[in-house]
Amino acid sequence: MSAPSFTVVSLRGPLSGLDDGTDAAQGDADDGTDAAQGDADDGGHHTAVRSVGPLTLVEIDPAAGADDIVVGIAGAQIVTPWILVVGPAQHELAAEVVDRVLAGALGVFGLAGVVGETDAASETLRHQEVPVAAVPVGAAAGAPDIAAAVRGLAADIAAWSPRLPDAWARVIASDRTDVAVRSTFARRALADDPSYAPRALSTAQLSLLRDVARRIIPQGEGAGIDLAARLDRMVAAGESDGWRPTGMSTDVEAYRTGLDALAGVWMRSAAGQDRVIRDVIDQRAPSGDVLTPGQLALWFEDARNDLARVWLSHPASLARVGYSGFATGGTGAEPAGYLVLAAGEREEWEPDELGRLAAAEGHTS
Amino acid sequence: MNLSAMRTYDLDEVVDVVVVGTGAGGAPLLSRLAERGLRVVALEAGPNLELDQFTPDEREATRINWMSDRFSGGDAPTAFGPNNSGWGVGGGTLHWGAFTPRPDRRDLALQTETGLGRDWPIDHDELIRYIVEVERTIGVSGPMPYPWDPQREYLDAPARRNAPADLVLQGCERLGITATDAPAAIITRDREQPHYGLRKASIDVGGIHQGDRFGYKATTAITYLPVAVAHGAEIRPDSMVHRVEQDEWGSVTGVVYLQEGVEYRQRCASLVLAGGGIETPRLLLNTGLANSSGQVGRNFLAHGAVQVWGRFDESIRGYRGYPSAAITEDFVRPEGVDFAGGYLVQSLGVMPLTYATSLVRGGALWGQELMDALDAGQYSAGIGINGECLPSADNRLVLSDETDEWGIPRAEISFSPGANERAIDDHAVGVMTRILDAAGARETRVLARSAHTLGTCRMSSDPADGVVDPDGRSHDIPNMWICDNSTFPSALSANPGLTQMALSLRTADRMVATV
Repeated sequence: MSAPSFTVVSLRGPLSGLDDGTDAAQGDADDGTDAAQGDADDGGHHTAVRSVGPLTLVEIDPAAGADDIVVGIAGAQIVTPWILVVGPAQHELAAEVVDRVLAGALGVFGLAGVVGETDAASETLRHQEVPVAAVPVGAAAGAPDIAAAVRGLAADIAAWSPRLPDAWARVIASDRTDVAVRSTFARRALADDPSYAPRALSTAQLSLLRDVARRIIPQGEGAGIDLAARLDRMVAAGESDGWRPTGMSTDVEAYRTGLDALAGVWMRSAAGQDRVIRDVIDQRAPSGDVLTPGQLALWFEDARNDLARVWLSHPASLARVGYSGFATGGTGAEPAGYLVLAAGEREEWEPDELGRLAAAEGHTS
Repeated sequence: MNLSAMRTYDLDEVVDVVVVGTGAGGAPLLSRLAERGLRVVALEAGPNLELDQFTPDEREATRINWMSDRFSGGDAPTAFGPNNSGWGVGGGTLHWGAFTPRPDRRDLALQTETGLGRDWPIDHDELIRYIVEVERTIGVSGPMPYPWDPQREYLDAPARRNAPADLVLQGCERLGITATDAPAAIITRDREQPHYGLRKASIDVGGIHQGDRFGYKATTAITYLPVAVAHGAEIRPDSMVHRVEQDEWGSVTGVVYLQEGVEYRQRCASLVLAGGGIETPRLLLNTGLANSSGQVGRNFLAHGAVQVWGRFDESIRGYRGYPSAAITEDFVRPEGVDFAGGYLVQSLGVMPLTYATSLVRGGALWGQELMDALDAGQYSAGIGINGECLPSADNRLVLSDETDEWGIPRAEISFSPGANERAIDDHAVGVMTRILDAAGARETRVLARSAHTLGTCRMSSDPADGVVDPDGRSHDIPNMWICDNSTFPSALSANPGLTQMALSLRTADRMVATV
């Protein structure tokens, strides 16, 4: 299987070590040698774009500041996940760029991480949401250390987050999608931290919730979302659905007591776990001292619903179920709606798999 | 909405009317009273939202729903939050589906017809006159002729049919069921809305319940409330009323509310409660007011809203287009049945998270079966009902022991469908399954659901049988009125929003005639 395509956006100049490493890592010679070179259509900004195998390298002149850098990134029309690479003196700049991208800047989607050279214990780079790798300042520019860090981070990201198809990334980046939606999706698309420390639950409760999530929402082949970690964050933040079964405590308490009750009957095997789940739903499972079997079942329905909503709100999940409705409203001259409503048909801007291309017949201009 | 230039009133000024709530109950009345020259202040618990705060993202969009927890119990706990509650200036109309059938004459006389439920102590012809006014004011589109009411006129052509509507209409035609485009408060032509400005015609998106940035869906925030403000009404957002002050004779003299943790008191000559079927009875129970009948919180009504989803060969993607673009009224009084009342049928498109919630809660799915159903969602078209619900003393709202962020006891609602509701559901599932089958569905799935919050302060001619009189005035407190769907004596088969706006104008006119 070939390595998934990736883009590296460098604010610190060339990254030759990365080219070499990629070529070496890429066993298939056809892919590795056809490096293309050119200037992106970015309205006159100093941007150089090169393709090397599965990697696209985008060099952007940092001199113009964060706003112009973001415009330059948009001009590169990146549809793969991308990693921002910065030098030791560019950490503040990197943070400014990340802030703009996570705020939903037009034309930009897919920021997956930051690699920064550092000569001191820089906390600026430790952006609270974006995966970051720090590399000690070593040899000359383009040191292999940076290349290794980029490849390592790219591999981690590919292992820890589902991949959004390019066509869907293009729609999210486009002006069909509202700034606020793009911002929300930019955050949801970030890879989960495998060493996530729970905020609402104990480590044991989180671990059990991960087990439960695997049975309730089997994500299939490939990298998945850490639904349990996201749910823990959601519960800690008090995000509820506006109601509770009568007699139930707050979501945080319900999750703690529900998971503790479940721990008492949980099984090791997948088949055993499925049996437990059926018993809990049918109110036949022992529920411990705190909850009745009925209350355990009610909490468990909430938990199943929360897990489903957390999974489905990830842009890769929305792409999987064929939902393009996030790309409405938008920031274009006219509100973006649907012109084609018929079964089996899609519009030109929509990913191919959504149907046959139909002639637009709506009445919006 | 733009409140920057509105008139304001001093807290110590005895304004003519304070209105609690700015949704379908409060807003039309507020505008009517302001137009008649009364000094009116609306207190809205939620924020004043700008248009760019509406988003199609279903998790973010809960900012327009009442998300402070309610407790829900009974045999079929009804879901709150995004399912049926509004939050912000505009109230429930921010999230409503804008599906606007008119109330059927027979539904207002259900008890006379069947001996069950309650009659509405309101003349149907009078109600329809108000409804026609509302339809013209907010912009309701629909088909002409309307098969079940050929004289009816709509301003503009109906919303475009999406794939679920096409299929439901096909299925109905094959079965000999009359069906057509649904009336909806969705404008299909650009419209200059008085005191608001340009509203853009529908762009045929499905995120109706998440709020609308462009003005194609009528909310009170872009229709009645701008009129109210232009005529001197003050709207105070973020203001949660938790106490009502009275004089020694029991008349209301003012309300006490919390705004950003600070308590204020607004003096007033009359009070209108328009917080909806949950917040109005909660306030009354918490203050102990207007409950000599013991009916406050009783007879909670939720429309039957069962859905059937069919899997088709082609991709349907019913998140495109107005979600409920087809209707049949053939089952308002179905023949050969043993239940009272009936139901409306509508085609259904749906947003993905809402559908997922229905699969989990209404379909009890999990694991691979759930994932398969989610993957099949884009090939699925839905059909659902809005069904009559009979009042029952056991379905009620009480105060729980737990208090909310304002220090007010949370509402606890118990709802168990009775034999009549179950019979309607069964009948409807049979009909809807046949329609989808006739349209070519490969397989169908039933998803249980209920909708709307009605009936907890019902209107009655007999003071012992309800909380307000047929005009909406409290049986107990002469200068207090209730103007929201808590006053519904029975649920009706029509969705409540349009009827509530008409009742709101009617109550306003009754108030003007008496104050």
